[in-house]
Amino acid sequence: MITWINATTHPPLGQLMCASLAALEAGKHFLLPMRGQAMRQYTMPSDQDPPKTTHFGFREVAETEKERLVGQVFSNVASKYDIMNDAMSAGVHRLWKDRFIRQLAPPPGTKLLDVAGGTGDIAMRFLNYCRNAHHDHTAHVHLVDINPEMVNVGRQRFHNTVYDLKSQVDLSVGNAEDLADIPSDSKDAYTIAFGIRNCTHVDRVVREAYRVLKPGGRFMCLEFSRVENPLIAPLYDLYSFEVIPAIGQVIASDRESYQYLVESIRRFPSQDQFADIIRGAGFSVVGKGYENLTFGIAAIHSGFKL
Amino acid sequence: MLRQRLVRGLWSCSRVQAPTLPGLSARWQSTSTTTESADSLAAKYSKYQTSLREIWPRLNDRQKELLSSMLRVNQAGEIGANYIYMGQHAVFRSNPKLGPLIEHMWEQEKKHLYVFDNFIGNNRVRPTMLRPMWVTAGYMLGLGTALVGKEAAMACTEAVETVIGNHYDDQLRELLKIDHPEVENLRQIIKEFRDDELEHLDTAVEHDAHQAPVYRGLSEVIKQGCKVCIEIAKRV
Amino acid sequence: MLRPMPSLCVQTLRNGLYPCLRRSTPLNTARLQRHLASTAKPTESAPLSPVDRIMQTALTLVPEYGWTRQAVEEAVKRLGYPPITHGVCTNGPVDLIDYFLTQSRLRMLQLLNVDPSQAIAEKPLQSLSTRDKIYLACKARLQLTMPVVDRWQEAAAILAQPSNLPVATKQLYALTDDIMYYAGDRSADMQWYSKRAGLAGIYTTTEVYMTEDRTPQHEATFEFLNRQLDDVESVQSMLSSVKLMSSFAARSAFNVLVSTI
Repeated sequence: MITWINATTHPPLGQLMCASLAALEAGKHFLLPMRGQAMRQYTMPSDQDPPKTTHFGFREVAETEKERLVGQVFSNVASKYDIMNDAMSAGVHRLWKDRFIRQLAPPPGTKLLDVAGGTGDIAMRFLNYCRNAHHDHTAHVHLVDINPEMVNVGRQRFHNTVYDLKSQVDLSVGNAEDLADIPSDSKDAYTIAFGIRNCTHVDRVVREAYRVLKPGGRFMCLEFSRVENPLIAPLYDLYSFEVIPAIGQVIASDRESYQYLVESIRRFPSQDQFADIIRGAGFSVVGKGYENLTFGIAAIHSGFKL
Repeated sequence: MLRQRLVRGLWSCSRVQAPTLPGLSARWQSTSTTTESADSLAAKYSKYQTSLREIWPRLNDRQKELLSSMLRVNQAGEIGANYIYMGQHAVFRSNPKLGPLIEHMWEQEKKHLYVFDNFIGNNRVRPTMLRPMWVTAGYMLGLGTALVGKEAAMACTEAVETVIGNHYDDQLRELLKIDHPEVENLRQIIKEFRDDELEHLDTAVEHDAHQAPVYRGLSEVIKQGCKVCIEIAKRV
Repeated sequence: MLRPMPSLCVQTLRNGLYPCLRRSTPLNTARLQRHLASTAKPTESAPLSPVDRIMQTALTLVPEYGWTRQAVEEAVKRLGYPPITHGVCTNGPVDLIDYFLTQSRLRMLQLLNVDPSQAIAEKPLQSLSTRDKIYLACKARLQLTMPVVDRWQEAAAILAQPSNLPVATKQLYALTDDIMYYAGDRSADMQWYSKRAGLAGIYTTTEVYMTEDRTPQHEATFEFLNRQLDDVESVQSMLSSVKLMSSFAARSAFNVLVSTI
């Protein structure tokens, strides 16, 4: 792990830090809003009634209202998001993302679509992997994010890097539920890291992923998930409901937003439910279809268009 | 006094067990504590013949694991119970009143163990791994309490049967969740065994279990021990 | 030729096998061979899932590429999928071996004419003696390793890594449990464990022997398997007399002890 990180830190350290911080920020914006929506759709099938409501954390709000609230959450926390991510996870989220790319193990020439890619955390790791593992500069990543500001941060991050000079990166603004700009059967791999919670309809996102992937292509998703271990679960609950809002209070001076973050994580479908959604979209999964990270605090889901 | 009793107990146990005690090490290898032939046992207990053949492929992994661990813990419990009575029997065999009483209870436990052993063998459930431990622990407990005296032996029986009875009750509730004739058969068997165990409990109380020295402490220790054993047996 | 000396440990473990290993009649190899041949139906043309197709193609490439990611990558390429599809074999070599072991076990059950989907079988195998059933099952299973026998030492080395211990244990348990169950074992006591452990010892030793065996059709391997199963009998009779002696000694000691109190 350590050696790999070192190998990928070819850009000056400072630059890397800035980039990853920006990426974290981007990722956060996505994470929060998505979660609530997914929750509504999968855990509360009954609220299809005319005045459409959705979850905002543990609260019930109108679907239109939620977007505003989530946007507010993001603007509240954006500036401290990167520091908060490291503070809350003690840096573990970096290990998760490294693991994520190693599981993907992209061969030379892979065409990746990184959705909700925010500031390019996953995209950068992907390109680094291709360069370090295969000396490959034919791999290509298309980064899509719904938030133009995020895409701009990503653009700055890749600006003047070797990847930019070799045109290995494209960035665009787009909605994960409707990737109209991406032709069908055109990508080798599709990744979405800490982003799918932000989508209103998780199943639509997965179906759209199925569409854009080539036959044999791989869908991979990194997302917070459920801790089932009876010894760890109470500690995790204590940590998320007591410690994280407190950290948020101290570092970002915003308790509510972090309260919302931890609540929304609990509303996202469980590992098995989400694996069912992936299967339902037509993907073939191997084994259970997911791998738990750190007792299931996060999970990597994977499916193949076979 | 105590020394005399100890000597008497050991003597009686060595006399009684002389032909069978050395078989103890071999006995945890064998299926049952009885010496009857397999065929005669099968005929005798034929009404407990049941299987999970139909329901098994339709259960999910969690249910399979639940059912397996239930059968495993029951097997372990019945092994323990058998050897408790064997230990008591070794001491009280020549007692005109207690001898037949314990023999009767032991006979029922033999039936229970036979049925669970058979059920496990025929339904591809992994048997308990700690059989030697249950044998040793059961025998020591039975022999030990019996050497202290009749009342202690009965207090031990009462404590053990209380835990086992409750445990069977829990299982009966759990099994209700799977609706299938095969599981219903299993429930009926467990129900009958539970009633046997509760009958032993009453017998023990009738025979002065509560007059045992330090009754409360003894009973508590044995009960907690049994609960720990159940948790272990569920897993291995 | 390699002749591994069975360790005392293996022999001790093996003793539990004894009751089912008494040979009823002299072993009729020709008959067993016929039995295998007659039940070896061609694989039914049930449609394979794409993942299975990739994995099975990869297995055919193992003699060439070894138990490696390259084998999977090559299989993916030959089936016309993009290279990224190699991810179906998530953990690389060990997943490939795991798949091979599972498939071989199921195929063995097929060869023995038992239905693996039926977890609890009424009448397993034919009217062979238990010992012959075990021999037959092991033989059927070993024959399935033949196509990759030159690469099997690599697989064994990978399985022996501590991180792969769960896979190795799971597979060995599944194999020995299947063989013992379908050979008619219905024990519910410690014999359940000693029989499976004994069989695991015999099977793995024989498999190691096979990787060094250069005789045509691995005849020496099956002769070795035979001897191993026969050994169990002699070890068992020796052990049972030891047990008798020691129990006699224990009883005497007990009586002496009691009489001195």
